[in-house]
Amino acid sequence: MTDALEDWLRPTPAGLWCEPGGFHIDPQRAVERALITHGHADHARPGHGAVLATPETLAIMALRYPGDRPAGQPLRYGETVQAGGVSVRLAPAGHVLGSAQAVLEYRGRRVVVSGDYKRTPDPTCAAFEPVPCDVFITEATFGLPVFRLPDDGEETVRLLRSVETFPDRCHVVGVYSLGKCQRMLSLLQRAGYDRPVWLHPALDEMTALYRDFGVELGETRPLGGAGGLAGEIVLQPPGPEQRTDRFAEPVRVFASGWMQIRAHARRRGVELPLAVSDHADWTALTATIADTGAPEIRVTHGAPEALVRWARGRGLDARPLEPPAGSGG
Amino acid sequence: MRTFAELLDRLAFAPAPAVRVRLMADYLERAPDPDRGWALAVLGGGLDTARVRPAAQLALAAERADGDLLRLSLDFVGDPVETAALIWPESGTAPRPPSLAEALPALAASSRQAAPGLLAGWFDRSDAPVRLALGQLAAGRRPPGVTPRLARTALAAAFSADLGAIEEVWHGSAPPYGPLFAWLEGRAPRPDSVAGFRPLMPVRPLEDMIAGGLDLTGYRAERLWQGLRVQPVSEAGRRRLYSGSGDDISFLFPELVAAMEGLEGVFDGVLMAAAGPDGPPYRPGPPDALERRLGRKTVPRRLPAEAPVFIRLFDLLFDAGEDIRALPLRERRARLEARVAGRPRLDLSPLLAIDGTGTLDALGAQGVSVVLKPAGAPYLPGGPPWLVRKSAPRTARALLLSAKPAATGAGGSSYSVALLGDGGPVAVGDASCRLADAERERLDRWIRGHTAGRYGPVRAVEPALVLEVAFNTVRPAPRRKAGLALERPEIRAILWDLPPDAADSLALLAADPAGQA
Repeated sequence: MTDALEDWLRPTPAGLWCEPGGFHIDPQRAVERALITHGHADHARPGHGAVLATPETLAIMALRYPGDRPAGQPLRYGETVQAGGVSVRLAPAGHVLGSAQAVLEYRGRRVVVSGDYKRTPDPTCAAFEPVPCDVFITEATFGLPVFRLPDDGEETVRLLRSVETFPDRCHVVGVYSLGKCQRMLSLLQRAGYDRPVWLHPALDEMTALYRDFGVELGETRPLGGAGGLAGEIVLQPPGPEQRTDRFAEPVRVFASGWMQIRAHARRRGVELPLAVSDHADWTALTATIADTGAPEIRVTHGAPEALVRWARGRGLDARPLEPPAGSGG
Repeated sequence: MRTFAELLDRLAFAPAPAVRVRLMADYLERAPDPDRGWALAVLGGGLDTARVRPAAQLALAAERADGDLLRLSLDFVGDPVETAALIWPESGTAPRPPSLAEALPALAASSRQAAPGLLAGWFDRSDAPVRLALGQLAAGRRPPGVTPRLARTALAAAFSADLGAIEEVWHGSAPPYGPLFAWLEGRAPRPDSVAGFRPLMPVRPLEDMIAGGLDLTGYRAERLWQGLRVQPVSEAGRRRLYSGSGDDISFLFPELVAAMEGLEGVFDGVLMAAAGPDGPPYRPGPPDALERRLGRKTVPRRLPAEAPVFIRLFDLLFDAGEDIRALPLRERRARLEARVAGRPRLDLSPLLAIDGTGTLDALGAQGVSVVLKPAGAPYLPGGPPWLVRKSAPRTARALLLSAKPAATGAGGSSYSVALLGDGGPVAVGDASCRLADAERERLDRWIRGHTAGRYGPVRAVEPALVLEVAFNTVRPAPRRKAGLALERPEIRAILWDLPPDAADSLALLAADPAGQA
């Protein structure tokens, strides 16, 4: 094959490298020119010379890395730029605010790099748009058939029912600051929860940024040093720093796709696991592969094995996207 | 089934008994009949639904899913039941899960051959949460930390009823408990309570009740026997043996049920291992010998002879159909003595002669705990309680060997402790922790910093930290390397400054006569 994918787009230790375009996609280390699909720290790192991303993602990076001053080049969904013969377009990925798929065309072949994505409707970001292509490079965070996530509205009702059952306890929901926090706010609002939601200080700025971009999130209240809060809902970042002792008989809640697996919820010491995710579940991953119509599939981020097997079973040329052997660290 | 599945899911993660009670009460209040009755049967241990083993459920899933995808999923999820429930193909139509009333009695009545087919049929009609709940039930798994007693407590909470009143009628009721719910909702009279469990006379620590001087006039004293508090009941031809928590344990002790033949009454006593076949009176054996008889599904024919037990009785609540709980203890005791004299497998708890607190102190020093009962008082919860004077706890300086964190819903962490033997530290028991939160956190930090190996959830540590451990008595434990074990050890303090060789030696403890119960 004269125009194999690997001739112009291939994984390297720094990240996915587009040679004719002269840029990396979501590089793991600082590079000269980077295309960033979305603002999560494992995709958007500081220190790049120039960054091509949606205006929302550039704003998120500026908020996260205040000292970092890359040359930012905003590219709205649907707009196209040329880079060394490669045409580059961003399509909505439905993951978090500003998240995009990178649509690259070079010598008549179209490659779509999904970045992280989900298909579940989410008013806090633009909805995923399937793009027909020749090669689809998909994430596979939940690339196992046991991940078929429940309806997010029903998960929210579970939380609200718990608040009703335990009016004398404070529900402390662990959420990531970019995406999950605002998604939960939006879900609570849609479920008809009309009380203010208490926000940990670490979630304030990102939530304000969402609102600046016109996302409607309902009423929030800064947590500050407040404690007790029986009958209230508090959003707080997850992790070992998630102290709950100051709240009234806290119910520890965690909103994540991993919560679908009980062993994960147990390890987290969670009392109410909510399987709400900003990633595509197995159903969405397989449906999206079909939607793109791509005969070639590359799988990255997460558990590629099962998805590769599934795609091959459907006659597709599917492989894990791996850096070349012996390429070092 | 959907709301019950949600209840089981919540119970699986509920951290405290009070939370579990609230969740179950909430369900029982709202769920319709007869579903809630079948739910109560499951929660209260009144229904055996163990019909499809986890491996068999996985095999059902394997008929419907790609083998490699199933294997990868099982590796990730860990639990075959959960894996099968999650990977099961969705029907594509709206789920129509079976009701509890449809699924549970059918499952309980099915054979092991027929059950997998039933389960698969229900799985096809259900979504993942319901499949997981059905799978757990079919695997015979109970929600962690939910005892039958806790389920009855939730029932009482749901209807603001008295737990004692529920327990009296509980064992005469059967799933789905229609008359029981009707009574609790005031729609019907109280169900028949023949051979039911009666509320036990509560026992309180003496120190809680009497702050100043202690006047022993009018009290009777007995030894506090180490064993299982039981309520043998023989009424209108029905013979049952209840545990102190109101569970029917008759099937575990067929020889005791047989020994009640010809008796007519409700008794209070302690079930103990017997040191030998001779009696009455019987000689108590080591407390851990009783463990062989508990927590079983079936009783092998030879077990009663190999691990003999007896009941040491101390009270009579009903005498030949007559409720005598309002009579004073001295009269009840006289009737008890007349009924029980010379019957096999039963004997009487002897009364101790107590002159004053001096006698109590002397007994305490010998490791004997004493129960004090007002001789003129009725057997009524709410009246003057029985008082326990515990023997002074003994303490030892022990080394920490390993720590096991609390499993969800299964009490606190436990810490394996050791004394010094000839060749180094030798384990003598698993201690609970009686430390203030800050000190406990300090201990847990120390454990994390000194972990020498991990065995599942257990962290072994370097034997370098000396603890002050309180315990009731020392009992012989032939199967342990130490040859003995501490009874109910509790960590009382951490002796941070002591070197490891400051721990007590095993020989010292073994030689102590007060240790021999």
